[in-house]
Amino acid sequence: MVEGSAVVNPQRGMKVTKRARMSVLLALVMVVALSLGAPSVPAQGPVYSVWVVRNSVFKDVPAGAFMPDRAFVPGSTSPMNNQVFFQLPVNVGVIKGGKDVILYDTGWKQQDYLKMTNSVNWAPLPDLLSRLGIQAGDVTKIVIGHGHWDHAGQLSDFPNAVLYVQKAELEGIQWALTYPNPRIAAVNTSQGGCARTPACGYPPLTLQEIYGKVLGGKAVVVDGTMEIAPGVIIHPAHRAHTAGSQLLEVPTTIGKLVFGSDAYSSWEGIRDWMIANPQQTDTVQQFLAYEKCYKITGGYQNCVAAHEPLSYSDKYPLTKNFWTGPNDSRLAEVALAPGEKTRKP
Amino acid sequence: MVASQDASSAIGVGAPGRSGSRGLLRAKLLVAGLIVLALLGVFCASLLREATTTSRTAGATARRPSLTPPRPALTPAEEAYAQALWAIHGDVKSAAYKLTFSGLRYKLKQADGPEFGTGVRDASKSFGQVEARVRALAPPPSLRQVHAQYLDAVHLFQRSAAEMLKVTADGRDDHLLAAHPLSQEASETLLRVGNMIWPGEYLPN
Repeated sequence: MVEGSAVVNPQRGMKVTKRARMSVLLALVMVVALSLGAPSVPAQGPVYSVWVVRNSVFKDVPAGAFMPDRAFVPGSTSPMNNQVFFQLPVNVGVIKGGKDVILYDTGWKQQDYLKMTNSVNWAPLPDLLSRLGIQAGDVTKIVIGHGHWDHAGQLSDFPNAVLYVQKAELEGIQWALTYPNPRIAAVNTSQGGCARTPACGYPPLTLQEIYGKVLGGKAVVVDGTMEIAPGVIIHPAHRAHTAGSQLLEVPTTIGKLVFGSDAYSSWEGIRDWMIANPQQTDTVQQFLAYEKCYKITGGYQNCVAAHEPLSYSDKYPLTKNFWTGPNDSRLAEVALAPGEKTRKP
Repeated sequence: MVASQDASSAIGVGAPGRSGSRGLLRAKLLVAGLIVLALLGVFCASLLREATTTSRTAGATARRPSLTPPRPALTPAEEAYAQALWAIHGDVKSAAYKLTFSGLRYKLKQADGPEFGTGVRDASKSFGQVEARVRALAPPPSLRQVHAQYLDAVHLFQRSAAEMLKVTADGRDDHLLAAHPLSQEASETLLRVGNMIWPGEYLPN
């Protein structure tokens, strides 16, 4: 302490004081930078064009059911607890580059037999893709963040696409179905509502569609990490929403993006470190999945959330460059690769 | 405070005198100004974030759309039938999963022929049992078509299982391809029935 003191040695003290000033300034600059959100890490190598489209909206989902920390408290004036419901989009990622058109999740397909009470603005995914100049037959790969019905629907609409699903996802469903305690193995948890038992979110039809891809030789069962195109990398996020959840890293001109499906149900949740959409979630694993995005992208801005209520507004900047599609759907242009033209009308 | 003065005087070691003091003062003012600017930046950023959080939640509350009118309630007789079938529905779905995973595991080479055969036979047996239970139900007139549809679904699953079992006899995977559309149609029918009598069977996941 004495040796380093400016009082004892003026010459040395001068240096130390300058260094101290520089340190203070540097620290302040860093504080300001952090408070504004850390910049994204520039992508190296090939970059991809990315759009996010809204397949439908789930209306009036109780705030606390989606994010326990934000449960509605009657009379509360806190922005954290003064909302009764959230309006949740069902977002699908569209990634184009090289010879590939990759979908991250496929949403769900509304039918006369699958209307889904309290859902609005459903639009067929092939129609949304056509607004981007992409035909269903052009899709080469589909990465499902997990196999729930509202994220892995309509696979058969993309006959040429190879499906990527985690081995742990398939094993997790089988584990639940064969568990000796019927409360865990239940596929009907109450009349009129299949809730949070591990196998409940997978209707037989959804699994049939996955099986159809396997039968057709159009499926890759991924065990952990896999690069599926140059720079496009699947990362496991097991138990971050379901047993075999997986993330997708995509390099773009605005830095790397990480798609998270329901491991990243809420972008605000990632930003503020709150869990969201806890179905079969290990909350620690969900936080580790959040951390993965921070590590890969350098912050939270480039984490792509499946159900962020702020989607298609300035408040979720990644999706702010949006336009309206069929049935009041939404399409957002997130990043364009060099030479790629905008699809925004 | 004394230490601070001493430390400050150390800056001017190379330039003693009044002009040195002025230079020192300017440097101090510059540093102080930068610090104030940086702090102002932090303050503004915090205010901005707070404001967007507040307007976000307020806006979302205000924009909440009205709920669509609920469908007509089931009559007591329809409700009784729906509850009775729901009790069976879980077993039908469990058997359907067993059938699917038998084929899936076989194709992925996670199960051999005998294990595949056992799984498909178990599923087939389950479908036979549930069929008898469904037949024992007496639907109200308004749900007779739903009842018939449900039985059709069970029959389709049974046919699918029978087709899949042929693989164990001749080892040809094309039986799986022939069986798949049957299970697919049966699975759609389960959802069709569910849409009529269990409209909220699947929640947003």
